[in-house]
Amino acid sequence: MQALIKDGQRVFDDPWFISGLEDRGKPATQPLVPIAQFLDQHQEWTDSDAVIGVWLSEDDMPDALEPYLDRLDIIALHLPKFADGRAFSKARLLRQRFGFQGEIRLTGDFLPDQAAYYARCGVNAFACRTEEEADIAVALLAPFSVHYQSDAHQATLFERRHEAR
Amino acid sequence: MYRYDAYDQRLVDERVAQFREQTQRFLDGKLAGDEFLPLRLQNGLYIQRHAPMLRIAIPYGLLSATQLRKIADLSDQFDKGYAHFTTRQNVQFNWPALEDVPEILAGLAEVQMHAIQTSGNCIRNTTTDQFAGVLRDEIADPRPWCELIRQWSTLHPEFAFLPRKFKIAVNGSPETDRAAVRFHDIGLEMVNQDGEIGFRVFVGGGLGRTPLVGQKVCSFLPAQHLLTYLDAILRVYNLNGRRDNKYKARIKILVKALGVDVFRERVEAEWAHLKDGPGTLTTEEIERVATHFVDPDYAVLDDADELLATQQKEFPGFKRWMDRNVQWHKKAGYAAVTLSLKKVGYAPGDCTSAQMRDAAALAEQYSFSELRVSHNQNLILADVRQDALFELWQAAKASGFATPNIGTLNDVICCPGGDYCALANAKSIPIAEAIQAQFDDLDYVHDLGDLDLNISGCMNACGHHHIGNIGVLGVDKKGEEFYQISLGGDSGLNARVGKILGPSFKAIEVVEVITRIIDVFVEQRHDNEPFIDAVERLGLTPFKERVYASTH
Ligand code: SF4
Repeated sequence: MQALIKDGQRVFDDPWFISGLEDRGKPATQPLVPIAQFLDQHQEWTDSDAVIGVWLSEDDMPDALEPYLDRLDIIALHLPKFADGRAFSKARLLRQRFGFQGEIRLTGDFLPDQAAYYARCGVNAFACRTEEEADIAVALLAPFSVHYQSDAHQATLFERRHEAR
Repeated sequence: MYRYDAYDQRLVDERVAQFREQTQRFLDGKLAGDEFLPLRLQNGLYIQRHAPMLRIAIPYGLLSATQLRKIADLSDQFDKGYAHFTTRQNVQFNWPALEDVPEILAGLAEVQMHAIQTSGNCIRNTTTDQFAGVLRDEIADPRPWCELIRQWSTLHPEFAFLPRKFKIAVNGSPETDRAAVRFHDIGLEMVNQDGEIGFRVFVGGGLGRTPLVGQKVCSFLPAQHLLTYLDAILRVYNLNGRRDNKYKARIKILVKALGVDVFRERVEAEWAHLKDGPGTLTTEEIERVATHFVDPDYAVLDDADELLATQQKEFPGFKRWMDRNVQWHKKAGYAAVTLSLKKVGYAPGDCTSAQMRDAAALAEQYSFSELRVSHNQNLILADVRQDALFELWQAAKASGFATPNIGTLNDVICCPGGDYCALANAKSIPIAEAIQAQFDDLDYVHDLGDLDLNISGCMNACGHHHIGNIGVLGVDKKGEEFYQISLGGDSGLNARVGKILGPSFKAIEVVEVITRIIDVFVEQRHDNEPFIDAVERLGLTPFKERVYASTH
């Protein structure tokens, strides 16, 4: 996996690759395992002291991961088509409802222009399609300085409006 | 009306900058056409048959004279000097150049306007009754709630890539539904329960290919929970709505597939997590927004009955106009006036820049500098003194706004159709014009009473043909334009989808068919019976028999 952005910065030495979708290339050494495989083998994984990463396809829901979240380091949401917006809700569930503290990474087909909305939903790492798009996405991460709604990072604008009074 | 503060303004300005950068990247070849598409649609920009089309939001139909004048200026500068008011209380430019769109948006931002989410698979402009706040039959003014929904939905990070477009409407009156809430993805009806304001919530209504009436998912939602409840519905839809077939992707299909009870359970389960969380409205915020919608500075007046009676006696044309185009007002001595944008020879909803400036001037002189756009594609001056009506009538006549046809067969509702729209099966504007030309005897049309005739150029139903008392739908038969006619649709509290009469007709037959339908009505009508009631009473058979007697 290349073309990576993490917490707003470009990253060039990331170890993760998507098991079942990608080949283990250099410097990739850590497999992100499919959620079904992880759930099957969760005992072995959680008993070990391995660093654990799981990936979800567009149809996988994150709910079943809830009991194991504090043992997971990274959850990848994989998008086959950028128009499929389910991952926005999944990221919010993971971050805001289940309180997942680790990395939420977006992989697959998405536009640099969508990164800002995903970031507001709690995604903090983006494996972009190309190096060029990763550079564009870094620049487009926060096109707005005000937001009406609450999100993974801030309160609603109306709450801030009233505090400002 | 709502006035932006520094936050609202900054957001709209930043949206212009964002779109300018996206357009530039597309023009530089760094953004593929199919990837620019959802981005430009989220800003109201279509690429149409002849040119791009830009849809500008008029939130819940409310417009200031200054804003209307700006639209007129922009239409002169960047378009052909006219604009088209739509059935969803928006306004469209039909010929802007792509390169100019960022400039148009910057111009709109100067007068607190934008094109955010006027298209695309996201939450669209919230609509309401064009007479909100001025009629006597309201539980409460729906406009503050529309504005709260506007802010909540604007650039909502979670719901910008829904399975399909999403439309919300709010109705404030218990007696009539002038916002057609049962035909929206979410319809909100205001309820007063023992002094507490809240909403009855309908989900899954809609027109288009599979017309359905919305189903009730909540009988009373206390007002402060409005936004978290909407979040819950949208999340259930975003995660579960179909994405494999765009004709099955609207929320109505999900509600139908799950059944309303299971759908409600899912929403309630989701809402249990969101209720009382961030987004729960505070009294302070509700009041902040509501203060933008307090009554204007009305004079203390009596109703001008005598004066109006004298004027109407002397000028029968004024009487006819008053009968159709003037509505009673909650405030004594005032009235709400509809300026008709339906005139024989002009496409319904079209307005030239000169007319827009005239309308802006009339608003300034007679109605506290505000206007409304109705879903019937007309403009409304909501707060006119009754003793100024006669003067206004003359001024409106001079500007071509006084056709006394509101709510009649002549007040045709019509989408842009095959003349402008790339999706069309058939033209709609020439059909509207032919019908208006046939029924141009306004005395006759008046006697027919209330009658909605709606025309759509294809199944997408932008002209809302399903809920027209008479509906006309353009269909394609082996490359030829045909029209399907339906009867008995109703957008009000008795929400109903019209029934198709039978095989479709060629363009040149449509006027004759409508004429025969009207003939049957006139012959069989009881005293002053509205058309819709007569159709209900008589059923389709007599109409069918007459219409298909010899044309086929
Ligand atoms: S109904 Fe069809 S033809 Fe008419 S505007 Fe909508 S998409 Fe275009």
